[in-house]
Amino acid sequence: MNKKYISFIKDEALETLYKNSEEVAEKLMTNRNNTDWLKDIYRGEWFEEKKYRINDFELKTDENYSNVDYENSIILYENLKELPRYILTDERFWMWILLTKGYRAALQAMKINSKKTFEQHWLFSESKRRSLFFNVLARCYLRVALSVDDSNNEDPYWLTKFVIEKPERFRTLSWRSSSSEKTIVIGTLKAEKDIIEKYKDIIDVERITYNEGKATIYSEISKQISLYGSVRLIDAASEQDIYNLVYNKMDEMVQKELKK
Amino acid sequence: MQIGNKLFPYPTLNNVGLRSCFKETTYSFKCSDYSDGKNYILGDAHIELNNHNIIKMIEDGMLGIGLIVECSATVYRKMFEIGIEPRTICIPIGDLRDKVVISCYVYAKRDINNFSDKDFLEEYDGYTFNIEKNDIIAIDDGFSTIIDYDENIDKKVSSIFQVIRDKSTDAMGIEMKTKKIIITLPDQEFNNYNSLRTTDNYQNIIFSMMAIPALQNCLKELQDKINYGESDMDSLEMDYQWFISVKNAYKKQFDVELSEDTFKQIDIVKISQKLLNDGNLNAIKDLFEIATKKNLIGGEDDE
Repeated sequence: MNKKYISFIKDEALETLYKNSEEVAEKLMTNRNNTDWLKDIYRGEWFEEKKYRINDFELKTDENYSNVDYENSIILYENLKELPRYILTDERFWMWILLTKGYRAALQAMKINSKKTFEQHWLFSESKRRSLFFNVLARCYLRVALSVDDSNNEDPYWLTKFVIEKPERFRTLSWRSSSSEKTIVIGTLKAEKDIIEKYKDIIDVERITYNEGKATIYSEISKQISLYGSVRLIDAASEQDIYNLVYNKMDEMVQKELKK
Repeated sequence: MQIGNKLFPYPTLNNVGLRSCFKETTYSFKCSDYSDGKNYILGDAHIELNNHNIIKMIEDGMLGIGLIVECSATVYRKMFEIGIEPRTICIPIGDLRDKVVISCYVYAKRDINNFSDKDFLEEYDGYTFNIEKNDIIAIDDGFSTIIDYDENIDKKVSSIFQVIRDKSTDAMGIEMKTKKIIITLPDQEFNNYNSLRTTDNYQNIIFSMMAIPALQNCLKELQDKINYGESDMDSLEMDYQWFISVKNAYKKQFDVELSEDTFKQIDIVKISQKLLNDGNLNAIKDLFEIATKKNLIGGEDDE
């Protein structure tokens, strides 16, 4: 595959997007196939090249994006994983991807309805961590990076499939800083998968809700992990420790639900 | 990771004396942090501890020492096992950006029944505690640092500004961001600014109309934060990296560090002008010369 240099959006161009988000959102809504409109927003150079090179990959497009979500996430991961973290987590890098190679796929992955959608899912308008996990393409990369199971030679992406099938399984966990430790993510996902499997013929575990439907079993589990980490050194916990914690808590929650 | 003043259901040791549940025991994490350009290095990382009971438990493998390096911006979080003997830790610099938090804890490597210590504070005298695996025994919330400053950070103060078109506004706006001070202009005024900005004759005038008020506004806000005890100089540098350029420029111009005490007292109106090359005074001079057509490139006298 051909190699190409990566770029960052220029600071001035990025700030212009922030300050004119309403107009940009409208352009995104009406220009789903090309970025010719960029010159209407900012007349200078948009991007600056950086010293790192990546494969000149292509993302798949499909009006029903769930058909290509998994495949595109793997494409992003496989082609970007060699880049240093400071690049992979930089808003300017992802904005370059979004406005070039990822443009059409990103607009299919999440429909832009308002400037808020653009601000939350293209720009990094939230805290840095949350913005990364909100960003329409950065989060696809991170879902793979944090769930790829290198110990499984046959299918290292078996947990990635589980995540992309229903992102809620990972979403609330990803917002908490402890999930930067991959052991915690892998242990949690394995336990969630086993509990779903255990009860599949009895109850749909993923439909269990709390707080009058505002919280899911997954957001409650994320809370339990945070609680564990508030007085213990969660970073020292092994994958098995986390698996046991999540499995036992979920099992307890399901049992309670069954007794209702 | 930061524990702060969280309370535990059993006595814990803390490098902040008031938070510690031990009488004489002291605990602290030591290292020298630096970068060699490729790695961020925590040189000779180790703990200092004067409690023989806890040291023995570490030596026996009942307790471990976890050094946590966390960088929220790059989703990096890793624990390094260290000991009482110094160990040097290298982290690829490319894994880190902006704020990095380094902290160090002693934790239980397995369940420990009947944990007690002769040096517990009096209220815990005679009690024993059942400690669970991964429970924290000793706390040092460590320190934070900034990695990989913006490449413009050491350049002149003028580079800390960014002028942006904002079609939704009808006035000049000023906003403090982490890396730069953003000045926004309405559409037409931005176009005019864009045409003028590359012409040397107008630099001081533009500075006096836009950059100096912006710097004044932002420095005043930071000065208030310091004066009202809402922040300190280290936090300002972490939160507003452009402030490092201001500090550097201040030192270069006045040959003295911009310390917290100095910053509290400086005349922001005057200092903002000085740091931006006496922009206001020079602007008046330039305007006068333009008005009298003495200094116009492409003016009447230019063939």
